[in-house]
Amino acid sequence: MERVLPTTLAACSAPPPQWVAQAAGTHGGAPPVLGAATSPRPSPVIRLWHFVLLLFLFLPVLCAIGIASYFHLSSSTQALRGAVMESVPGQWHKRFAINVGYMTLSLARFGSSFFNLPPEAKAGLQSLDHGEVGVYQLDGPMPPPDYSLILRTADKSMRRRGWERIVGVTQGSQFVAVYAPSIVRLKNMSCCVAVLDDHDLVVVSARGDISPLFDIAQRHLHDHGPFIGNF
Amino acid sequence: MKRFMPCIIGTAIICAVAILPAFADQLLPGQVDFGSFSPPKGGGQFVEVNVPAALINLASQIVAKDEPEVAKLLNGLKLVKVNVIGLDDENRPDLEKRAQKIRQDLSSGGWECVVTVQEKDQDVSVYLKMDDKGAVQGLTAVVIDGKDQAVFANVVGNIKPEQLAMLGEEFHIKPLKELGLTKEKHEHESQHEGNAEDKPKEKSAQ
Repeated sequence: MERVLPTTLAACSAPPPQWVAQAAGTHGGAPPVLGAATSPRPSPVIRLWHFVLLLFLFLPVLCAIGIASYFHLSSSTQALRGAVMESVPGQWHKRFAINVGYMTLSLARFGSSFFNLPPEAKAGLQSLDHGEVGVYQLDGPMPPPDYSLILRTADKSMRRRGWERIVGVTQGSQFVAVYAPSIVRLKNMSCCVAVLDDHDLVVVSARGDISPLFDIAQRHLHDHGPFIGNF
Repeated sequence: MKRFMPCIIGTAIICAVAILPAFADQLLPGQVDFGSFSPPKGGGQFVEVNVPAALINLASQIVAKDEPEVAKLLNGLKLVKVNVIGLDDENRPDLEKRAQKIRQDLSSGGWECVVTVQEKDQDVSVYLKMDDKGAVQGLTAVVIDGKDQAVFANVVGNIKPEQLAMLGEEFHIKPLKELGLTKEKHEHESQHEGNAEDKPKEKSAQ
């Protein structure tokens, strides 16, 4: 007797009746679908496609965030700025604020390698990992500032973020406060400075590895003496 | 034992949390708490410099190559704190009172007054704190400079009064530098006066 192999699709996919009965009997549920069990895994090409598509869709958003970050100061600098503004009544308006991060500075470092810059500028660029500057102006006449209140508010706000004031200077209409992290590291040194001069407030923050500046400092030390701040 | 371990660890953590702030507030040997100062309301001068050990070490590393003597001095320091407050009619009585109280506290707290200069409007006192072995733990200077300013300086670590000018020079802290120079100048003058007449107005430690 000759056996005839099934040739139609229906004949191929239909499970034998005993399989169906066994599956229903043991699990008490619907019989398993053979097609689902044997279906191939999603191809990695499709997953990559998803990723590319997502990236493509989010690229403008990422770009917008990146561009916006240039004009958005870090939380510590904002805190210092806020503390000063809070203590000096009046309407402040932003004149200029820029925040330059590692990527931009790396690009600048790379670009500067093609130019013949003075060693100080090169060392400065090499040492800086992150820098931000904000310039603000007070509208209208400035009342005599209560420097004591400014210092107290700024100290409190910065201490909460792990910064300690190392310098505070006031005289006439000028005010300078310099903050450094409680733990100072040579390889990752940060400082945050606020300068109030009449109507203008400048906040500056910088972080970086200051070792490249060491050579320059030592070279200058030979010629002009120590360079550490003049109080 | 396993049942008690969490209790032991928990108790240790609670104790550590309770004790740590007490240690944080504790002053270093040779450190003086002057209290907080406020800038003069009339817009006078106010300078507050607080150089912690980490920054001093940094400065020491910078000068180590060219000025080993200075680096050695800086290595022995733990804190440099200088307050300069411009005097006006409003804050003068308070600051003079505070200077007086600090001097009394230092004298009663085991500090040795090594320099006292009182002439014209100047009132300078320099105190040293030493441990049992004679090593300097800290230096404190209290100055009321006539009508201009009051200076409160505290250097924690191994420093001698004659090194003050060097330290002031190093950190470019003008009042500290001037203090060192004043001390040197008066020491020099007192030596001359001492030779002429045996009535010294100041005393100075070696």
